[in-house]
Amino acid sequence: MNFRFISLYAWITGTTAIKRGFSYTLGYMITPLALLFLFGIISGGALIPLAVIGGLISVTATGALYGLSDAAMNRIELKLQDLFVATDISVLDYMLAISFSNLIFSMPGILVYIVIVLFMHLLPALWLIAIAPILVLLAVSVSAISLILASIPRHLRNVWGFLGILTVVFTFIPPLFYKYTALAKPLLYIFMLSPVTSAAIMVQNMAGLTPFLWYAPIVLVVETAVYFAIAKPLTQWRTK
Amino acid sequence: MIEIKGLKKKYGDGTYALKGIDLTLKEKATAVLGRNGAGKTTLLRILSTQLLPTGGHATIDGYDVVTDADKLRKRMVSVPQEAGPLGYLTPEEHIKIYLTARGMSFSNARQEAARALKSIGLWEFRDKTADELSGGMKRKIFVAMALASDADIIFLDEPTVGLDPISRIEVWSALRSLGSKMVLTTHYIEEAKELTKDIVMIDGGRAKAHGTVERLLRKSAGMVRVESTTSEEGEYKIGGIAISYVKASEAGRYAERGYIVKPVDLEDLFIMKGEDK
Repeated sequence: MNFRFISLYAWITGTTAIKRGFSYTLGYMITPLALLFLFGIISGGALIPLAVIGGLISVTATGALYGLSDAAMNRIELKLQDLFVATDISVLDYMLAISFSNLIFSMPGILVYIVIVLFMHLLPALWLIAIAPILVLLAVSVSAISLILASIPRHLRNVWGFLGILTVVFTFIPPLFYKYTALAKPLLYIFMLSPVTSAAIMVQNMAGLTPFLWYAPIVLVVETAVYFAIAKPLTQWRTK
Repeated sequence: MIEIKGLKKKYGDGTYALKGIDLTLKEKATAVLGRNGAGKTTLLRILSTQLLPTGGHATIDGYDVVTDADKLRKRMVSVPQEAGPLGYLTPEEHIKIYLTARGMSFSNARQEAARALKSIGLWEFRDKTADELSGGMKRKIFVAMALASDADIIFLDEPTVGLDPISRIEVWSALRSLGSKMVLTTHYIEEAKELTKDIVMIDGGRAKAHGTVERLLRKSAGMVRVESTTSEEGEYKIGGIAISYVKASEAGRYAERGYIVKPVDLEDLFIMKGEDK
């Protein structure tokens, strides 16, 4: 592992993306914030806690999904992937660099939601320590999926469409903004193929919004390991 | 030394970019010349371990570009054709990231980035984002990455495309100062002659000629190029220009008929070897 590259790439691209392209930061925050507003109005405030927890997971996952467009842009348009292939780094170094870059990029959104969580007393402040690893695992696993999928499109235009579909599949359909108990068991198991589901269930559990699901943490850890492991053979690194 | 034997590349759509290239490159610097689509970039991408060949072998100092890629990557730099910087990063940030990918420490990366930016005339623009730079300056960022590296072998795919004449001279000067082995592709005959003595001409996925400028021009010694925009007579037709190669002793006769007469240069080898009659 080249930790120097991972940390420098993540820090420089993550922080500069916030500083020099703040509209994107607002872009990934606006949808969950709009949902929070709508849920609050429609439910007379009853669904606000769920919308806050869903928003926290959503901004982290959306930031990680942006890794798809970063990786595709680097490969198809900028040819930066070719530049990196001919260096010492491996595809896993590259994947982690993009993961952490997008996690840093997601920080303003995460902080906004943490402030809301604390303001509404949804979780005790100390529990935020337990949320941090959940968000890191979520960012790494979704980034791994993003990097694998970024190998597929041959034209950049398809990436934007792809990203739109994935955003809905990852952040609207799984039980982020509703209780996982509303799902029939078979459907829940299908949705658990996405790490977003287990991460959302864990945070819902911690906030006391849903009954404790003992295997959710195991699923998240195993999925992160699996997606991370399959990213190496499935990502198009050296062109065939 | 780079040894290439029967190197082939067939892309997924059935196109053969390389149809079996055999070459031995022993010189410190080699220029690969060829028209668009000749196979230059494919050859460079295979040698720099970015692309897998379909057939044949290539070794660099004894290391196979397919099986020993990890060992070779520690020793090489490759600047891809049409590589573009991330618009919101500065030249200095790009170079530092690249150097850490090559295993350099943060402090060395900072020092070497500064040295390279100064040597290529980008120092005063180090804090500008790439989006604020001209196309030529963006290209210079990638050349600066190669200059800042401590690589033994540098592959440059069209290094000075889009650069103005002064910038091109700056890049040439910086590249000449390198101690590394260099393989570059270019469309510019002048660039090839300026930077290397060893020239490979490829066309249609095959190496058509290889040697020094003098050796390549030896076959056409005593010949001149005559061209006309009005005459239909000519061995080669390029756009509206008819071109022929005749003995120097006949030059006067053609000049009297209104033909433009020029000495034969490398550009003419392109025409003779690459153009269909």
